[in-house]
Amino acid sequence: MSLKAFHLLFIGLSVVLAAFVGAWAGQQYQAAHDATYAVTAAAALAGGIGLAVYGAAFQRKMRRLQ
Amino acid sequence: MNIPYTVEERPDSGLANGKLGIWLFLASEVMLFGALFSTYIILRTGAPEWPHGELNIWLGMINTFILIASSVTMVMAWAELKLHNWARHRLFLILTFVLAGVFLVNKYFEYSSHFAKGEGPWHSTFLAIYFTLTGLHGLHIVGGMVVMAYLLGPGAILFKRNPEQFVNRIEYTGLYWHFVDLVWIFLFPVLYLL
Repeated sequence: MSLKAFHLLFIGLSVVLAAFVGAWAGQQYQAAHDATYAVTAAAALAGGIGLAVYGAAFQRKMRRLQ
Repeated sequence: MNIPYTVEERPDSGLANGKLGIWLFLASEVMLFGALFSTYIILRTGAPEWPHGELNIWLGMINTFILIASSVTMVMAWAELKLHNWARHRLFLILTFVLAGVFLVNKYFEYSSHFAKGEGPWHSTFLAIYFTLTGLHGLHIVGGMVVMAYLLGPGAILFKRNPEQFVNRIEYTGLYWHFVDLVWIFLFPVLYLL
């Protein structure tokens, strides 16, 4: 496996982690009603979307590199 | 005497020597961390109760962000080298090194706050496995920093003699670095959130 492929796998798993953190923070917010957790959930979901967009852009740009 | 297949692919494996070597090494690392993760699962499922909220989740999240960012800078260091942008390659490799250093500084603060409260590995089963897993991971971060320092310093001269071999070395370093980051992607939710 090349570094390119490993990086894409890593970004994919990071997106899964961001979704997990978002769900965890959402659950904490429901239990404690602490605004910090709501902000964390929103930031994690935004981060996950950002990582997914980055992954797609990375794949496009790296096509010219062998 | 020249060592064959440092740049070109071997006809039998379809890989250069270095890439085969790094993947064999990473396979042994998977077994090492896999054994420790299994230990964690056995300890946790066998414990009558498991502590929650003992770790600084926010510091853990910052460190997760730092390592994800460092994987991006690492792959950029390799891509810039492939595009023959030497200065930008150096910049991204230095950034990766700095991010690794920041991760360790955060870890130092995290460990210090535990030790200040007398919460060392002897304190509980949870902290014993926490210090073992994160300590071993931290040692891997140090190892990566040593390799990066070498490639930024005396090892950089190889680029003049054999640029393709140097590009391969950066790629192998990147593969190792991604593995170390991947371990943290599993460690963070398991130790800090669950």
